[in-house]
Amino acid sequence: MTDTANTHSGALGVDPMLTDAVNQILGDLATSEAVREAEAGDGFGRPLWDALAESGLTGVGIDEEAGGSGGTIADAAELVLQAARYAAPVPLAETVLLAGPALAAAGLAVPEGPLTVVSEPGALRATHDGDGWTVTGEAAFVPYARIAGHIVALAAAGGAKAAGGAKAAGGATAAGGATAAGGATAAGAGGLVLVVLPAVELTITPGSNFAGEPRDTVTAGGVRATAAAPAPEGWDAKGWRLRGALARSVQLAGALDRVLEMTVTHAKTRVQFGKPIVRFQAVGQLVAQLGEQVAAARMAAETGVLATAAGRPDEDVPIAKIITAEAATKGSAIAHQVHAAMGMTREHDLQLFTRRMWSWREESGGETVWATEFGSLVAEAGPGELWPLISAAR
Amino acid sequence: MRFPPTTLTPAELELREEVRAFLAAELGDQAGRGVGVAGPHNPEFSRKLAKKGWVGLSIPKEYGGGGRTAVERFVVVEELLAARAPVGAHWVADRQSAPAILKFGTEEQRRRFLPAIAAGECFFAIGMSEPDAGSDLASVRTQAVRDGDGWRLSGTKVWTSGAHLNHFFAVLCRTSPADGDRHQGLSQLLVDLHSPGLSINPIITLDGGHSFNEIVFDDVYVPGEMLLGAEGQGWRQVTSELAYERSGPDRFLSTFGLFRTFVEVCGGRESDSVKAAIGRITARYRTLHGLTLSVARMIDQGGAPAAEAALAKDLGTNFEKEVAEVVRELAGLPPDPDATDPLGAALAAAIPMLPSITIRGGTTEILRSVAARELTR
Ligand SMILES: Cc1cc2nc3c(=O)[nH]c(=O)nc-3n(C[C@H](O)[C@H](O)[C@H](O)COP(=O)(O)OP(=O)(O)OC[C@H]3O[C@@H](n4cnc5c(N)ncnc54)[C@H](O)[C@@H]3O)c2cc1C
Repeated sequence: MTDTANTHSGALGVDPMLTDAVNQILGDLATSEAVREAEAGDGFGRPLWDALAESGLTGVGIDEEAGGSGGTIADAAELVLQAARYAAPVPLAETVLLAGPALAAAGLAVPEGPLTVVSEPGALRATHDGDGWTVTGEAAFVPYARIAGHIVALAAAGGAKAAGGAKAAGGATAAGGATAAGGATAAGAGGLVLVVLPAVELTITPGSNFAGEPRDTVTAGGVRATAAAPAPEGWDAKGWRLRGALARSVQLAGALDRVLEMTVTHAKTRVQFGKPIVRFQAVGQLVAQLGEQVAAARMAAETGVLATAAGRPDEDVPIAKIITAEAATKGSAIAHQVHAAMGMTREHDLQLFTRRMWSWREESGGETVWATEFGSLVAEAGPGELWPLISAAR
Repeated sequence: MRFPPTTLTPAELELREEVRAFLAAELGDQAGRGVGVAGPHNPEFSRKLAKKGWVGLSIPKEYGGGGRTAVERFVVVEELLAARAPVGAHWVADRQSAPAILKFGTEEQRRRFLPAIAAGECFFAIGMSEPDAGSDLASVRTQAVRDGDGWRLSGTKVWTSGAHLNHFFAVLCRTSPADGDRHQGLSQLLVDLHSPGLSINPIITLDGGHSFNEIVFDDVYVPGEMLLGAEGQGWRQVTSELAYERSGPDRFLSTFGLFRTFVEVCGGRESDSVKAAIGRITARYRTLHGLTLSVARMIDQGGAPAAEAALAKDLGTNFEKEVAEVVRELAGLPPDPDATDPLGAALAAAIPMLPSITIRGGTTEILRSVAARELTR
């Protein structure tokens, strides 16, 4: 799709050349037609993915030693935000914000090709049998599983689902440590082990979200992990969930930004009563309120990224998901109101974004899930800690 | 429109800790209680703060101020408001009069007013609204006519908060006819609230309180050296002043005391809806903190984020009202001014104040129009 002014980037301190590079590719290959074609097919924009991979962008935010292109999580988030501004039909968020950095953190090699993750920690079980991990179980709603080369999961070690306490799995006696494929012998925090599963050996039942993005059911009937390691630091069950929430928050912020742009354009070009509807004050007020939601969403998502980069995601990431999900709710309603009947059609591009927003706001935990969890934290800290918590140093 | 996230520098964080420690010692367990935009009027407290160097923080040192940045002022002010310190006396002088005098005033005016403001000795009110000029501020009719070197002022200002307690106000008035363009011919005069011929008539608010006034000028003499900025440039000046009035943390913290009391009283409840409400509200506080801090940083970097300020104020003020409504719904208490329980009392203080939050400093509708104009430019 067109119109990709650079004023949409920059807040994360990312090199504008990176933003330009990804926009160039997205502008060429994530056109409205390409997004629609993907949805009508297997949900995957392969030419787009190949172009991104060719220029090294699918390895951004992943250490070079692990096989990535280097760069920070802020760089990766910027790519994901820009891709969401085009509704890009590729598992970029899953690869550069989730699977890739998790493997790199564990000291494992990052396999080539699109990656994805099982979002629920402990949904699959892994047992150790002397020289490797065997994984069984079923996981629903795995993004892009059908086209991913490898699926990365945080599996419950020793057959216990999300077992508490770090314990050696499968009776292994050697101390845990990140080693090469299948070499990890002990589970990390919470009895969780990070496993890499080859997609070809899994049973994959296609499914999709509201937006027609692949969300498949994955069944593993005793599949050998090609690599495994104890859950690395920052990637325990909580860290895993936070990362998933961060990825969707960044995508929501990107989609909202695009929806604001589309709404402004529509309001300036649609003529009724002899003038562009933006000139009706009631319409202008709607645009302003959409602008407010987008500003809040971007602030929250970007702050979540910076906090994660600083190793302190516990507060800002739940906040990011709460605020972006709220903004998605209010923002999509306003955008549709301004577009009116035209925006209700399949033909109009607005739905490419609002259907994604309606999916993403729930994925990796909706605002109520996170608000309840975060609110418990705040209530426990008590009134004396309330202000320090709100104004905490970022 | 962009609000880049920003982090506080070690020096800024240190300043914050200093203010926090001071307030904990000064206010004790009264900190963070009560509601309202700026906190009670207390000249003694204002002078105490001034001694710490925290009034007129962004006034240059040569004029007796702290010579600090907009962000540093933001940091201090946010702490004061969150603790609900009694900053009402110097509030307007510090927030908007000092920057206006610094920007548009003569050297003589700067030397006269700025050190006094920074010392917590000179308090200002706002002289903009009139009976027939609210949102449409350019239609003010208060008139100043030349009298020798000075001016003779006649007309009426209204809704003038704290005029009965403060010393001066900047009066927006007409100094020459509109002649087609209403934004021409307006000027600002710095007027002593104790001038002969000036009367201050209390207007009682719906809760029975007195904070507003009507000001009547009956041929009030204003010396020529009290013209602020250039004659005829009043509109431009007042617009710049409004940016300061709109961008601060006072635009999202006025019901924070109520929320804090709610967390204190109801936070322990085994209720998911209470927990979720606390989570959502806290999330929005931190996001508004981020947005308004970002505006302060833009000001320090030489930006003029007037539309951003309007947008943040609209988001913030509507949020302040929503906080009160969520607390009310979940508390399930009758608002009772005589209540001994802190939450019932805080609700009783908040409810009658809520409507004013989205009126003062520019109504919701006006702010959204400002933001929309920028977004659709
Ligand atoms: C608590 C409080 C303290 C105040 N303190 C001061 C002070 O110290 N000094 C001072 O000068 N003023 C002060 N004010 C006045 C304040 O600035 C005005 O109330 C405000 O600018 C609105 O003006 P108005 O009340 O005359 O409303 P009006 O302008 O008459 O507006 C009435 C309604 O019409 C709407 N409206 C008006 N014009 C438009 C438009 N163009 N488009 C869409 N809607 C429109 C408004 O949004 C509002 O809903 C204070 C007000 C309050 C509530």
